[in-house]
Amino acid sequence: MSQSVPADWFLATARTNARVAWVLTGFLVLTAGLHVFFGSVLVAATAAVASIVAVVPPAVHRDWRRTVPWPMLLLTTLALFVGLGSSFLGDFVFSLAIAALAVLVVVALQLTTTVRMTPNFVVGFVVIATLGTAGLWTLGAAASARYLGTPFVEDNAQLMIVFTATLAASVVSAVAFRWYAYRQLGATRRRDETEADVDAAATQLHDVDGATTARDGVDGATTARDDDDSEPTEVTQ
Amino acid sequence: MGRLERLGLTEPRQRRLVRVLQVVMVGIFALGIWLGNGGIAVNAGIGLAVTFLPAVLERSYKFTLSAGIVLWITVAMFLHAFGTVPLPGLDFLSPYRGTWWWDHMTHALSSSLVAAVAYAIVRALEDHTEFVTMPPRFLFAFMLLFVLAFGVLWELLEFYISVAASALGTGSVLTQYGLEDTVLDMFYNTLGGLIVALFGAATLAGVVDDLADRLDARGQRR
Repeated sequence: MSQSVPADWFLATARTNARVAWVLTGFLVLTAGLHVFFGSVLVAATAAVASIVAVVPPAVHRDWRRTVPWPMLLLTTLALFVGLGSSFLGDFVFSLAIAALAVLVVVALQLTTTVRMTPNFVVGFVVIATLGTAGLWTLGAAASARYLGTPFVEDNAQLMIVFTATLAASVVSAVAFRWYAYRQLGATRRRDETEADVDAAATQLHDVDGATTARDGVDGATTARDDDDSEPTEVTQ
Repeated sequence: MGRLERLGLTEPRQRRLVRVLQVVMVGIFALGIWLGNGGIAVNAGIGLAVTFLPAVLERSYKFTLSAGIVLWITVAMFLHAFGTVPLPGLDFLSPYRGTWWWDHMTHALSSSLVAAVAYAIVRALEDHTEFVTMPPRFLFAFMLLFVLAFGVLWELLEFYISVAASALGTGSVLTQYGLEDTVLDMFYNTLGGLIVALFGAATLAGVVDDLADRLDARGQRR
C-alpha cells in the first residue's frame, strides 16, 4: 500500500545527524549575527527563525539527539550565509533558504505537535509555503516602504521577477526534498526489514554476524550489499 | 447554509438566483462580442464556464455542492464579469476602472473561494488518510499561506499573459495596473482568505465529507 508511510520518514541516524545539526545550528546563529551587522536584516531574521526552529525539537524533548535532518539545515544555512543581495540569483538563493526552512518547520511540527504529513503532501506544502511567504513579504515590505521609508522593489516588473525566482526555487527544493524523503524512507524500510531479520536470526542463534554486517551497512547510509549468506533482505541497488 | 436562509433566501431561491446571474453573464458575453471587446467576452465566457463546474461535477462525478456554495461561486464570477462592462453611470467606464473598490471586492471574493478549496482539500485528505493530521490552528495558517501563494501565482499569470500579449501584439485579457495595484490585490486576497479561515469551516463541512467519501471509494477500487 502506498498509504503506509512510517511516521519518521524525516529522521536520519540520530546521533550523527544530531552532531552535524548542532554544528550547523551554530553556523546559523553566526550567520544571523553577521547579517545584522554586515548584511540584510531580512536574512538575519530568517536565520534567527531557522535556528529557533532547529533548537525547538531537542528542547521540547529534552534530548539533544531529537534534531531536524541536517541536509535541510545545511541548505538553509548555506543559502542564508551566501546572501547574494537583490538580483535574480540572490532572490532564487534566498527562496531556496525559505523552502528549506519550510521543510524544517514541518519536521519540527511533526516532532513536537500532532501535525502529520506524508512526503508528497510536504512537496506541495513547500511550494505553497515558499510562495505564500513571498506574498507575506510583499505585503510587509510594501507597508514598511510606505510608512517607514525602507527600500522596496521599484515597479511591478521587478516584483514579478522576484516572484518568478521564488517559484523556480520552490519547485527545485520541492523536487529535491521528494528525492531526499524517498531515499530516507527506503533506508528506514530496509533497516526495519534487516532488524526484523536480525531478531529472527538472534532467536534462532544462527549466523548473527552476517545480518549485523548488513544492518551496519544500511545504518551508515551507504548502499547495503546483500551478504548472501543470511535471508534474502530485498536490498535494492 | 443557515445564514442565507435566515435572510429569506431559501434553497430554491438560491438556485433561481444562480440561473438569473448566468443568464445575465450570457448577456455580458454577447455585449462583449457586439462591442468587439475581447476582454469583456473572454472574462464573461470563462466566468460563465466556471459557474457550470458544479453541475459538471455533479453529473460526471456525483459530487454535490450545496446550493449556497454554488451561489457563492456564481456571485464571484458574475461580479468579475460585470466589472468589465462599461456603464453609463460611470461615464462609460467599467466598474473595475471607474471605482476604486470593485477590484478589491472581487479579489477578496475570489480568494475566499481559493481558501475554501484549500480547506476542503486538506480536511478531505485528513479524513481520508491517517498519515495527514492538521490541528485547527495549523490549518488556519495553511489556508492563509495557500491564499497568499495563489495570489502570487495569479499575479505571475497576469504578468506573463500581458508579456506574451505584447510580444504577439494582441490585446491583453488580464491587466496589471502597476506595483501599488498588485500589492493591494494581494492585500485583499489575504483579507478574503482570512474571512474564510475564520468563519468558513461550518459552511464547508458537507463538501469535506463528500470529498473524503469519494477518495475512500477510489482507494477501495484500487
